[in-house]
Amino acid sequence: MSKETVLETRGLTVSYNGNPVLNKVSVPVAAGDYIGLVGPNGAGKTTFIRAVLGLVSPLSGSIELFGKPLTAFSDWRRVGYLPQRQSFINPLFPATVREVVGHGLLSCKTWPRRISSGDMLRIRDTLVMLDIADLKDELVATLSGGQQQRVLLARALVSSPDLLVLDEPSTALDPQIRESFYDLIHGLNVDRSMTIILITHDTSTIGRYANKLLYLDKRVVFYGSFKEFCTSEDMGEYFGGFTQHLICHQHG
Amino acid sequence: MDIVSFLQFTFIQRALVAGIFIAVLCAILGMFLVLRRMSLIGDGLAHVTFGAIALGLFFGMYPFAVAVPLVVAGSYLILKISEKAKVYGDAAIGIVSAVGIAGGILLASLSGGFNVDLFSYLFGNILAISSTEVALSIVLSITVLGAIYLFYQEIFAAAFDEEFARVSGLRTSRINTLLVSLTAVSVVLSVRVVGIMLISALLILPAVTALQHARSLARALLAAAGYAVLSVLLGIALSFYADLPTGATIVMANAAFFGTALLYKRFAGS
Repeated sequence: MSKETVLETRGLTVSYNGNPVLNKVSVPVAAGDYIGLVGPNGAGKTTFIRAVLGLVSPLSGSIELFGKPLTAFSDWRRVGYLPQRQSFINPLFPATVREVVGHGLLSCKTWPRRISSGDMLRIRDTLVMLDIADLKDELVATLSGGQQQRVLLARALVSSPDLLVLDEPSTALDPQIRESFYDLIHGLNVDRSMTIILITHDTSTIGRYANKLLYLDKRVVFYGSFKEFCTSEDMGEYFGGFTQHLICHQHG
Repeated sequence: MDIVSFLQFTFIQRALVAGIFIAVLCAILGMFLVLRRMSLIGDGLAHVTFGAIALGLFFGMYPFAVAVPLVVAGSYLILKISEKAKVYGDAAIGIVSAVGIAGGILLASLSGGFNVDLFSYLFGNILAISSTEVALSIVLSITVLGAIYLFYQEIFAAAFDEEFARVSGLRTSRINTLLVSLTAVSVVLSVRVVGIMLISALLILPAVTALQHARSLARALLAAAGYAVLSVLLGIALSFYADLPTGATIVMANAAFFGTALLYKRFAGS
């Protein structure tokens, strides 16, 4: 039986003020895929996922989530999103960890949206899974960057999504926490068949965990397995053999 | 005269009832505006209120009946200018605010100069509030607070992280429209309490005072409402006994709470 298509873009083109940022990007993502999304700065990686999440309107092309056109898609419970930075967090905002993680459940609810006692149990379980249960009543704005990252991951995971989109999640993490963070994401992919799209500059992470590599540079330069990338003569020509070797062997 | 004997006056009773409802309303809305860094929208809409009231007086219509729809339209215009015309939010507030004031001045000039009515709206006079205005304040306050209660989670989520709220399927542009429309109604109601010149104080001061020590958003909202009510009570009582302008005294009471909260945080920790 073929796997469900979680995401499919066809000819996706996005431009800002007339400048093309993505050009005819066609990418199918199947359930259970773990995709490492890489590319140089300004390659359109973040724009790609912002378009997929409906935060940016494409100039042309189509996007389907779980078999439905993005414009008709409404089951946002199935999508978890961890944004690039925590810098948007207003240092004065008096929101507790529990309150913020609860926002991840609003996609499951119809109006008037309320957080029930059952929801509180889900929030607690998610906090326990991420080892931050003791922070539940702390103000998010007062936490360290690494703790905030885990709170935002809890917010993304509390609705038990089928697709998790992470935009450079490890920038605020020290090496030890980064390791356990990626182990956790890997566990979600393996144990719960959660589809993962991870933007990162860290190709060693992709080599170790991801089953596919998507290299964007305003267009799709490569989409396939990491092994295929490393043995591809086309990629050797595109990057030069030395750079291809460096990308492929960073993970040691 | 004992300390609470002023409560026997009907005009004081009316002022207290209307003042408390409007203060709570402004404090709660103001919290969301401050957290979204939209504090000055109150000032901008107050200036639109000036133009709208001048328009009402010019055509001999009940000023609030003209002001409510016009100021709601002004709030919508601020949102649309900042969304569609690639103008920053504060600049959009500045544009609408200036047009409101300019319109008011033109109408006042055309009508033969400022008259006493328009002047009283600039500085407010809660002690002269009528029974109809008290009833209007109560009904509109309850309506606005009810809307905030029903959309609390949406407004909270969009204020904390608008992008994530959108990815959760919340229609944040509608939430923003709701928030500024509610603010517009509240600003018009507040004109009687503190006047056009001081409205933003009712929105900003209780919220920033509560934020000095808040441990959750729900507690911050309760604290802001508490400070706002205490300021109205203190302001009306002080202005009555010391023969001071009531609106300005209410604002100074709010400012005193803010100063005390700052000092407490500085010296006692919080």
